[in-house]
Amino acid sequence: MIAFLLISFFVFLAAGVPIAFSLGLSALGGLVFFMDVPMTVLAQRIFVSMDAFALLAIPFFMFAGSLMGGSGISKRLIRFAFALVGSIPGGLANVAVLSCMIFAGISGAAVADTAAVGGVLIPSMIEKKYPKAFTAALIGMGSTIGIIIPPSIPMVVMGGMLNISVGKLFLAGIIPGILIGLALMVIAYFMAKKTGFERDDHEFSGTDLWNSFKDALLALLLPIIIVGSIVGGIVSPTEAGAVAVVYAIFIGTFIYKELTLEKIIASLKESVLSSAKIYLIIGTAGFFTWLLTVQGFPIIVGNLLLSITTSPTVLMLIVIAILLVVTTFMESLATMVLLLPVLYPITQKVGVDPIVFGLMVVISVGIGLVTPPVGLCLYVSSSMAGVSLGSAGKAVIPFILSMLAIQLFLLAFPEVILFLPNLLMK
Amino acid sequence: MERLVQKLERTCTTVSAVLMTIMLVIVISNVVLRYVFTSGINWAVEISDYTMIWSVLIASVSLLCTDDHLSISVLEEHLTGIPKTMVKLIIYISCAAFGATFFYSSLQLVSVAGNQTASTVRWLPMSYVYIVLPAAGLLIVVVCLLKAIITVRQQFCDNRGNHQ
Repeated sequence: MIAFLLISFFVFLAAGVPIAFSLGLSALGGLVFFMDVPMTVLAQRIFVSMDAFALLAIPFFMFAGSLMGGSGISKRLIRFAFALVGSIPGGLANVAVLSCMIFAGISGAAVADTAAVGGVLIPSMIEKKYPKAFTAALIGMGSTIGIIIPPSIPMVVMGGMLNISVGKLFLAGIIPGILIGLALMVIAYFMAKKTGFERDDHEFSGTDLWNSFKDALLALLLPIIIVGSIVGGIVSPTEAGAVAVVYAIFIGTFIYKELTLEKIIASLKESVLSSAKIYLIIGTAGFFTWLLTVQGFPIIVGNLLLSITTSPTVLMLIVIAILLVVTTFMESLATMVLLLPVLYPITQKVGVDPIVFGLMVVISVGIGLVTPPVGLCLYVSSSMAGVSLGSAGKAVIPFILSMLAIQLFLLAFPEVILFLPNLLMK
Repeated sequence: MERLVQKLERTCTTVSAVLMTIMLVIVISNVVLRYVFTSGINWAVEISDYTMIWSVLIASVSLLCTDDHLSISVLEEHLTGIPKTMVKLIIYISCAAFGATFFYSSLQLVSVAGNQTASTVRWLPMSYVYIVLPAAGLLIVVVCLLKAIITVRQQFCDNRGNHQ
């Protein structure tokens, strides 16, 4: 039955059937042909998988992210990033990475960041003669920081599924997210030096920096409010998402005076539709993984992996490799919902820290977002830059290697990941 | 027929957006009540969960109307003419089959729910909460069949155009 489930799923997927329906259909086949249980199980498992308060953070963080453009938050944050790093070689490229890092503190979805940062910076970078493939690759890769620096939708999903503290996961993502951002900036700097798009005729000005900082201050407070309120135990991640939405609407409407009712409604619709894509996958994947679990799939995989190694580091390397391969061909969140219930218990048997496991998963998923053919962030950024996915795919390789290097560094020194959670949360 | 699909899409998106707004209001009210009035809404968590499930299931129908569900469309993109139409038909029929089974399964769930009520809202029967499941299943079937008919009709029009 396990073979039937996996093969039929990939057949449906390859045929172009939506991921959520591919999962549902193959699980349905398994239920009808191999099991003797009432049909109500189908509806019940899907409902139960979606029925989790932690998951409500998804639409809220998507809504907050979507409001950034219309509320004037994006514009101000990018202006601040430009004043800060626009004058160093590869100025706009560095502005793009820094903007992605700041946006990451507001939105929890990488693709939302690709659209928000790319919408403003891709045309400017192309105008300044940055190579299109480089531009698409940089923005695509930079926006994956969106799921590493809190808030992060994959962390919320993982926390809900595996019962790991979302607050700790959020804190654990801060240092790795900053390290990855800095690595991307260093690469952009050297590539700018090497290929000649060194400066963007922008002189550093302390006055500009101060003015842009003052202008963006209220927007810059948003990430602090989100993480601070969760870590301080004031609100749950879901409530923090709702607070972020209200705050973004408030400053966009009353302070920046750029947000209109039409823009709010458009963002609301966009976020509810984006959330539905994820939720339905969570629902049908929950049904699918339930069947796999009933058939003993996690035990089979566990025995297989533990027969290879019992070293936590080697096991995590295998987990990372599996995630990198699967996310290349499958949507990141679906991969998480399918594989984590199988992989997580195995890593716990050999004593891998849940927070370290979580961060390694999120970084792998981030890399999966820029690897064609299913790299959503690269797909969005390359269409925005008007360049083929293949060219952008080649240009993104140095960035992927740098992210992998940081991932391995973090695996070797997990204290870096655990520093903030241990410091701020007991 | 295209208009009917468009209307369904708009209606479902609007209903989902309204439900999400309700959920946002419930969650925010709970936070405000907790910190300003030191009291909370005990049903906030459960009801906002159910509201979200309603919202996303209805929104998933909108996504079918616009072919916006996450999928790997490499095969379809590399095909043209009748093979492309055939692949699209297979996709719609597969989704309709799932929708139909989901409809049947969830109708059974609604009837099994009987007198069960939500745990924090005793007057709310779970069958009312579950009713969105068969409704979404039915709408999925309707949309997929409409989209399949539209696809076949477009193929006929293209063929006729080529002959002329």
